Amino acid sequence: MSTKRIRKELADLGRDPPTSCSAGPVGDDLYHWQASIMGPPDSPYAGGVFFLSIHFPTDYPFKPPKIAFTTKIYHPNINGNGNICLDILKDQWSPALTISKVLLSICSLLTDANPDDPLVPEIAHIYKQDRAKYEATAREWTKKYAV
Amino acid sequence: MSEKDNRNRPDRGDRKAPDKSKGSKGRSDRKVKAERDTEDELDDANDQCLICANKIKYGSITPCNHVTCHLCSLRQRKLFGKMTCLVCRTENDRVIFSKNYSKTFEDFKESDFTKKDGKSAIDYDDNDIFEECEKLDRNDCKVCSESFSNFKSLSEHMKSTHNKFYCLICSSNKKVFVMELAIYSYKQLQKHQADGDEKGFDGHPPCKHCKGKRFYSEDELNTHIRDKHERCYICDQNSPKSADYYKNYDDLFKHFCEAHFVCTVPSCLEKKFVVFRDDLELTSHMLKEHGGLLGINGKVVVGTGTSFQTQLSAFNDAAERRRGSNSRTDMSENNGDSTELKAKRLEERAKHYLNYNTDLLREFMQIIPQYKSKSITAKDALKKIRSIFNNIDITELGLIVFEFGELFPKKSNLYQGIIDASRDLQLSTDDQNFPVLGNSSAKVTTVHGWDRSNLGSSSSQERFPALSKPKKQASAVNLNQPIRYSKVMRKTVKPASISTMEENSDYKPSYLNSINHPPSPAPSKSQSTISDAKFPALQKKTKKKEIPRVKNVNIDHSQWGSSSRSTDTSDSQEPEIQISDKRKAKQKKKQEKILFAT
Repeated sequence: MSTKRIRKELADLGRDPPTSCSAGPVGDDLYHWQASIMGPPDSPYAGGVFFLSIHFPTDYPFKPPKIAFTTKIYHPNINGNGNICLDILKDQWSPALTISKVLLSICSLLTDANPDDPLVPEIAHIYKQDRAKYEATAREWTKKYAV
Repeated sequence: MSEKDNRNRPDRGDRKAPDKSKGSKGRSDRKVKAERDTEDELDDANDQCLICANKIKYGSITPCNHVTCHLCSLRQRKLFGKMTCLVCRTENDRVIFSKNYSKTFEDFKESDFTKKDGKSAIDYDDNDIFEECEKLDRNDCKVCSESFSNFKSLSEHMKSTHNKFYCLICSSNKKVFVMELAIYSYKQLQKHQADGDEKGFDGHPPCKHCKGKRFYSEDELNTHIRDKHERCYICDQNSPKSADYYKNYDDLFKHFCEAHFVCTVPSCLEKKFVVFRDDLELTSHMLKEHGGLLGINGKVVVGTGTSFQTQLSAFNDAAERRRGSNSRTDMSENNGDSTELKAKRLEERAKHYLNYNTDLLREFMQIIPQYKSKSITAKDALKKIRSIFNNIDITELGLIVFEFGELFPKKSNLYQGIIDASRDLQLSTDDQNFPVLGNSSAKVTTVHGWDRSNLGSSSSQERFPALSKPKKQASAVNLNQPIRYSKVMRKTVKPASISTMEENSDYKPSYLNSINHPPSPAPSKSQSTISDAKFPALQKKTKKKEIPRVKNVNIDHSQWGSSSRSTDTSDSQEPEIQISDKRKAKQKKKQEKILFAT
């Protein structure tokens, strides 16, 4: 039931790719995609290319896709396993959302972290207490893992 | 928004409403449909359900004026039990199912509706639509059309009469209507449950401890595991994908003992789950929780400061995971990524920088094999790259060239060629503009911005952020030359990774040597608490059981802080010894004087 919708999203992505992110199936498995996000220029992730894995449940789009970073990233809302703490990937998911929109949301999460609802409290703490240190570390990680 | 629409459209609504009187209804429907069909040829998307991307047969119109197909809406309301709009998440206490889905919600009048479904709060303007929707969830046999009062008897009937089976896992979990459920032969059912029978579905995962029990998806299995079994949270953090789960706490405890570091103090055993990633953490716990208990036995190995621990813990696992997964490449490359990933990254970067210009991208991607086969020189390759990416920032171009070079093995001529060529073409002379390549030429000593990122020998260590007050550490190390932050970090990080055989395993920090000499570690310990916090990291791998020395240090610490008159510090600290010796000497002299005087 979800095949057609996923195909449509893929076609839309090809026709009108969103700025600074891209996505597509891994091999011929339509339900497993790889996505990439360019680090937003106004963030410490600038210059990095971050990869994400996307798994569509068979109930997609009624259930949200499973999205996780495969590139290491230093961010209060993304943990060491690449899991992303983002409401629209959980309870705020709407079937009208698309991969393209979700990726853009993740992009903006990179620019504006949400330290009040952290997944990695340690990073959130540094983010709040010493923004310069957070940015330096994030930049360091970007250079190390995303370049 | 809907209100605005409403205000803008009352005329249209009023005009159309009379048409909706019973007699002319069918005709107008057909007319609208025909109009829509011609439109469809122009724009297919108009007729497509936003949610399932299928052609809309009947529309579901919400008060917020969002149209989806009736199936998606019905699914949301009946099967998911949500009354929210599929598009905007507005809670809707009523939706309209109609063929005329080009109309707005306000266009419909109470008199238009021929059927109302109170439970799902759906108004139908056509009995056919209602019939069709009803049929979907009816327990009718697909083979002989016999009707049943519930799904269970339908399933029984299917089994006994037609020798066909429903997948009961799907029927109770999958959000589909009864008529949408597939029927299987026994063999097909087995295959469906074990391996999956359609794209994107790999079968219903079984629980390995509960025989014969399968779950709809990983999510349901995980819920089951959470409720009925035990997971090892340490393994979970290390590698969530491959982490095992255990039948009960006893089994989990066995695993704890085998793979991790359990606190065996009875009170902790009773508490359960008091287990640690490494003996360093266990030691820290021992000190904090059972300090008095073990201190007496002299068994304590000094633990780290807690801040050190907690800050690292979040990244530890990822670091280990990374090291594990990339172990093949880690040794040769400064950045432990596979060539495949590098190529992919370069392609993605190029794609973005070229704004999805496929022609240019293709042109760029052709350069790689050309250069690899040495049909073009490095200089030509870079010139080509520069012309392809003619309007991007020099930094961005630098990244492209850097990643291009990274595709080739560090020691190959191909890589060196790129380095040299980029220098010749003045792509890399300016470290500010072209920071990356300069660093990658294995000269760790070069000083510029990117060098700080420590892409050098030990880049796979990612615990930089956690360590606090590195300067004190530097003094503790007692090296004469100035030590940069990064270097210090590298050292302190290193001990934790000894077991993973990093390429810098030949790297012996000076204080590792010094540990073998009894006198030198003592002063460093006594200088600051920070160094105390970091030294155990060394001990952890090398000499976990250096029991007596540590105890001595503790004693020293308290003693010379209060007064230096103590005489039993003789073996601990050189400066102290000198001082106390002097005093002793003075005292002796005094005594002698007194003696002489008398």
